Amino acid sequence: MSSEPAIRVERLSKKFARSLKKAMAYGLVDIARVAFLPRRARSPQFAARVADAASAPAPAADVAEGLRPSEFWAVRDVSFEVRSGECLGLIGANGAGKSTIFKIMSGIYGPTSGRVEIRGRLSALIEVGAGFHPMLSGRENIYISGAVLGMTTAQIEKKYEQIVDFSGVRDFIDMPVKFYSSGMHVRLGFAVLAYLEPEVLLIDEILAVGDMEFQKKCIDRINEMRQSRMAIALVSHSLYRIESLCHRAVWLDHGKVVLSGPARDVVRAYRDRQILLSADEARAKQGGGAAAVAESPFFTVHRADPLHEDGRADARFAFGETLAIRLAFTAKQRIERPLFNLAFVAAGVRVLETSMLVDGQAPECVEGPGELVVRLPAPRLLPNAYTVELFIRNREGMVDLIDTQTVTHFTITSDGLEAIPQAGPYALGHLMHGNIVHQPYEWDLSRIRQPEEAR
Amino acid sequence: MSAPLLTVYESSNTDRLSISAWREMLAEFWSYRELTWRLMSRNFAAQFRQSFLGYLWVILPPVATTIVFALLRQAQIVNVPMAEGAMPYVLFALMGTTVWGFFTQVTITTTHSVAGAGNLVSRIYFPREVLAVSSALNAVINLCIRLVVLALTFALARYVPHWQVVFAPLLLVPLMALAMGLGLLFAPVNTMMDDMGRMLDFAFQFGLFLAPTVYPTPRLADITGKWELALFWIHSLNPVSHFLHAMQSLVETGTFDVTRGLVVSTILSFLALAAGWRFFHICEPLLAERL
Repeated sequence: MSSEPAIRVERLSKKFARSLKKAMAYGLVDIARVAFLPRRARSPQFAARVADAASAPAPAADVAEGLRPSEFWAVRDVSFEVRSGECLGLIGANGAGKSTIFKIMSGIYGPTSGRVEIRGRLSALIEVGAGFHPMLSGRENIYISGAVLGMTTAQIEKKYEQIVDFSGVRDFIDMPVKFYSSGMHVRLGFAVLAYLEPEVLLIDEILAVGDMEFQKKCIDRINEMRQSRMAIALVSHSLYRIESLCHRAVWLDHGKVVLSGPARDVVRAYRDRQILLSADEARAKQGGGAAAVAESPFFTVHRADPLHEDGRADARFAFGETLAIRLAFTAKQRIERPLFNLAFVAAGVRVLETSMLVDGQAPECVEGPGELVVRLPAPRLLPNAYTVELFIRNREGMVDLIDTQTVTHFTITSDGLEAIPQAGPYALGHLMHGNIVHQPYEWDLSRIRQPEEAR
Repeated sequence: MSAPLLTVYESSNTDRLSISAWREMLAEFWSYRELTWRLMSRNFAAQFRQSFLGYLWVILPPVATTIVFALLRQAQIVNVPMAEGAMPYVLFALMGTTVWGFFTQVTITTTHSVAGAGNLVSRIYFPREVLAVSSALNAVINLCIRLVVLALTFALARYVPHWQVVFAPLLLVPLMALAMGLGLLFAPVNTMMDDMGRMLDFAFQFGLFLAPTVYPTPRLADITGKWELALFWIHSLNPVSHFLHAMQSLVETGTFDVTRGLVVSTILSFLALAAGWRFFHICEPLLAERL
């Protein structure tokens, strides 16, 4: 058994042009350069200098990096390895370079610089159903797709029945694919690829299509292939899937590696960043710097600040860390027993409230400036971006003195999340993605009678 | 256990002329022969599946062109003198347009082969030559159908060519090499700018009249005016003319003259194929991202 990794990507970079006309011109120049110039003159830096001299000057940094005007790096200096039997996940926002890396790994694009080594037969599930000829039948297309992927007719014939069974389109196999539904198209496409049994497999977000039953079939098949010592790299926006299927993960942003390591760590850091970004976004939408966060004929609420236990006003909290919200307000008139109500909202769901309408506490009387703090000792809120909404009612709870207003935001990060046992396959998926509140719990398994053979 | 196959992708740094590069190119193409065959049969099968006349469309263009020119000539609107001992005009024109049509089709389909298979090229890796060769082979099938029509027309006209005509198809080999060479040169450019394909379509429409297809090349001895002389030189500079001349003389007299023009054209054709293929291969990594 070779100890070399099945996939090795070394300092891989790839650039594209933003404008179509420029892309066309650069394409022609590149062709001429590659075909007619001696080797040393073929460097990107050389091309950038030439293009720079010929048109509007690009920033000097771009020229030094080998970028011509309107070009950008889609992938920059990316390195990783995948050994056989291992699964690597690529995560990142749209346009982070994940698909481009896959296309380079499968030989569709050439790298601008760097190197990719693939040991063994590779097949890539990038947009399945591509290359089906609409006028030909499913059967004919199976043979063509097989041939495209380097199979011989005999090999395809051996697999033909399995492919048709898996796809579930047997009744339509002699119909032109032109008349297939998009679902059938995808099923047939995946079926062909799933039965190739390559040594290296690239899967690009294709599982987002198809019905649940078919998705399950696909996941099962991928798991099967994973166990047969195949090296797998997969792109998915589903952090659940990355966490459960992958050993390691690479987080990409604008073509660069932000973090790579064990899948859990990367998914966790990525999710933290997502939470912080969505909090920033919410804050920006609310518009910072306003004189007051809420205003009515009765009250002006000047500020609402999340506070740490030591009194620091900072909107980032670790999981389980005691937090407080401080309201600075002015009562515009004398008001008796105003009832303050703060709601904590995550992902559009009202998670909990600190409410005087419930507990019945209230300041006897307010007039002029005042300050109020509510403390949540060791909250069970899971990592997420939280919004705090305020309303104030009169003493009977009937009249709004201030309508519901978003007054502040805070985030709970994954720091301290280790306090929760996480040995399950979807721990992070649930704790950082699905659930909002965590309540400690205990299972009692002693009442389950074990079957004989398991004893 | 044998060492697993290792594939390496790096930025293009191919040597243009080294022998090993050629060997790799050929080996890679050979390993994908199955796909070439499949794609060719696919193109052929899908070609006319949704048309009523079907394969009649293959034979229609040369037949229609021939009929029109025969009509114009018969009505004495155009004057095409045929030499003593030449084949009947209809046969001459049908042969000319058939051969020219083959040359045109190979060049044009090869040129369009990569750009036309965009959704395949941008999603799956395989040597792109496969596309070029399979579409060129498609043109060969179409040619075979047209040759049957040509043979039937000879029979119908009760014109028996000299038996040496069986060597005529050999002349189609360098012709095809030339067409493919041109197509392989143009194809990468065509993925970048559409102008290439449009220009070719345009050029070939006129090209028909600048080769001995629907009228014979004026004989040097008979030439009187300077315009006729110019036309003679245009024909001589067109490599396709020399292949057509050779075929025509095989049919009419059963002789095969190894003229200087023919030798030069043949060498040129194979050089074009070699240059075209190498150029195409070097451009290969650049093709997908421009589609």
